[in-house]
Amino acid sequence: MGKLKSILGRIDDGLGAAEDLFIIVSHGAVASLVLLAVVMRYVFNDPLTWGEELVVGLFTWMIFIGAAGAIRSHMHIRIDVMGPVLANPKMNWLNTLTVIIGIVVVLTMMTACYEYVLQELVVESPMLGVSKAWFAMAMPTGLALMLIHVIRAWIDHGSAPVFRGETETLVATEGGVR
Amino acid sequence: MTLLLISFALLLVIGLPIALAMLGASLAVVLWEGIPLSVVAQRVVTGVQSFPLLAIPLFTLAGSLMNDSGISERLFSFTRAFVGHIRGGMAQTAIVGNIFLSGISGSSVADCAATSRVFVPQLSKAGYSAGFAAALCAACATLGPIIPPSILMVIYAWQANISLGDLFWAGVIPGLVMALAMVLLTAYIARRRQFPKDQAFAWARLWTEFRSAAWALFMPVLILVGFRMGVFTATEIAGVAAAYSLIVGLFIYRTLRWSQLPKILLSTAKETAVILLIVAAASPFSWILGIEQAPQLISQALTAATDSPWVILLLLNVALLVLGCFMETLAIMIILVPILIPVLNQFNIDLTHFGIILLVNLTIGQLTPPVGVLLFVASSVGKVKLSLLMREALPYVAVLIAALMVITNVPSLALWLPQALK
Repeated sequence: MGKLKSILGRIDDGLGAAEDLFIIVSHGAVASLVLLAVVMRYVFNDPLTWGEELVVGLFTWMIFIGAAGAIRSHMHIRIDVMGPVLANPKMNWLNTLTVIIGIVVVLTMMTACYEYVLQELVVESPMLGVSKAWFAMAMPTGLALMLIHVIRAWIDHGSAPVFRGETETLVATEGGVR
Repeated sequence: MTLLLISFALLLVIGLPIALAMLGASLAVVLWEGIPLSVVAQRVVTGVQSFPLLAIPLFTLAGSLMNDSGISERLFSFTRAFVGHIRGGMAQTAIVGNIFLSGISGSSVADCAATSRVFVPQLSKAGYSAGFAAALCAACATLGPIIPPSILMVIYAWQANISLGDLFWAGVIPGLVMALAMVLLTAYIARRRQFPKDQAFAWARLWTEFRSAAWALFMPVLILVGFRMGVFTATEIAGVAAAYSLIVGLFIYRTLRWSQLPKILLSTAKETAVILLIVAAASPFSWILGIEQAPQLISQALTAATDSPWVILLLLNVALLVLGCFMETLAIMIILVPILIPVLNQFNIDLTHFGIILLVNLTIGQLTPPVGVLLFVASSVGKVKLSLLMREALPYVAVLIAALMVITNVPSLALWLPQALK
């Protein structure tokens, strides 16, 4: 069990690092392409016709991979009023139930994505002329990464902190006085 | 619709993130009704494939670059030189400073953390009670989503299909009305509690501090003028604002280093991803509400109750204030706006005016327990007991509700600027 935990931890860290690199590069590319489009359109009067589709495609990937990364950084938003209730050790069963339901939602959504990607395989994007499945793939990829992060966090730290939100994290790190 | 709303509420209460709760509820309905699952995936993915939404990561990036360049200190030094000489001057500095800070960051949580970090220790040292100091910082942060640029405005304009430029301009005067309400309340409290005066006024110091903060102060001007020109799209303006912030931080203030860039890009992209995953997850959710005819049902109920747009606005204000006490701002906005738009159109209520009313309502909700995110942030960052802070925050909630009533009943406060500039 210990060995399996360590292997999963290493895989998760590796994926997390790759994910972070992808997010940084894609966000930088999105910002640079938008600026390039402004310069081409207003300075050279020669708009990038393919630019908008490429930027939106990159943006879609950035969102879904970023959403997976946000699980690792505990940045997702949930109802804050439940924070103190869920932090109570007696409510651990509820945290476990929440994580299991979360995993079921992610797996069901991945099935939905599989059907959608198959539909999009034959559809071509209007400007870039590539299969729209390239855009549709962003979501199942992000969800798969999210699933790995959730399982790792659950195994390593228990169910309570898995879906901890931004404000709860801030309260925990700043050590506020309740 | 019952299955959708009940499963959503249950998933939220057990502590699932909002985006997953929305997806779970939509999937439950789709499975129950025998609709193909791929419909949900298609709605989610196409929900974020929108060029106007690209303004969100770029405005967030611009704000983060400015913050990491240490501009909040410069802005507060400038406002301190401006209003510090009056009684309770340091408290007034926090309010006026937030008017400028809101024009840069666009996130009330970020503004609240920045203000609390600077002001709670300073105000406590100067003799103000810690509860008052933290409550003030939380209250000031309500200006964030109202004074442009604002991420919530980008989402609302996209949902309501109205001009983001108009909405940004429409937020300026209501934001100042809210600030004025807080300034007057603070002046009253300062007189009653004999708060100290800060440094004496000097034109020379004001000029020096203004010069130091001028590049940061210019960013909201750049954004608003960009919209006024009417040639650029919101996303392009956000891109230019990000580039401007980068240049100011790297080459003018020289407080930003290239090595900080990856971290800033990473955190702002993740912040955006969290917001946009909710926007994306709301797409199948709203679609189901639409086919279940939720907008029509609400419209019929409201029409049966009254035919006056003012009564409708009053009812909506009460409902939003109550909802804001229990629900997360972004979730309320994303779920309610598509349902309310047909109702608003039926009663000829201006969507830009309503956008401002909605945002003021929701930001007041951030200041009221039990889901007062600004209270939690100010309490944690300022290290102040939540109960102390809540008591001191109540008068600020009261004056902000008064400001909301004025903004609701005088539409020209929001609509005059965008119309005058056309």
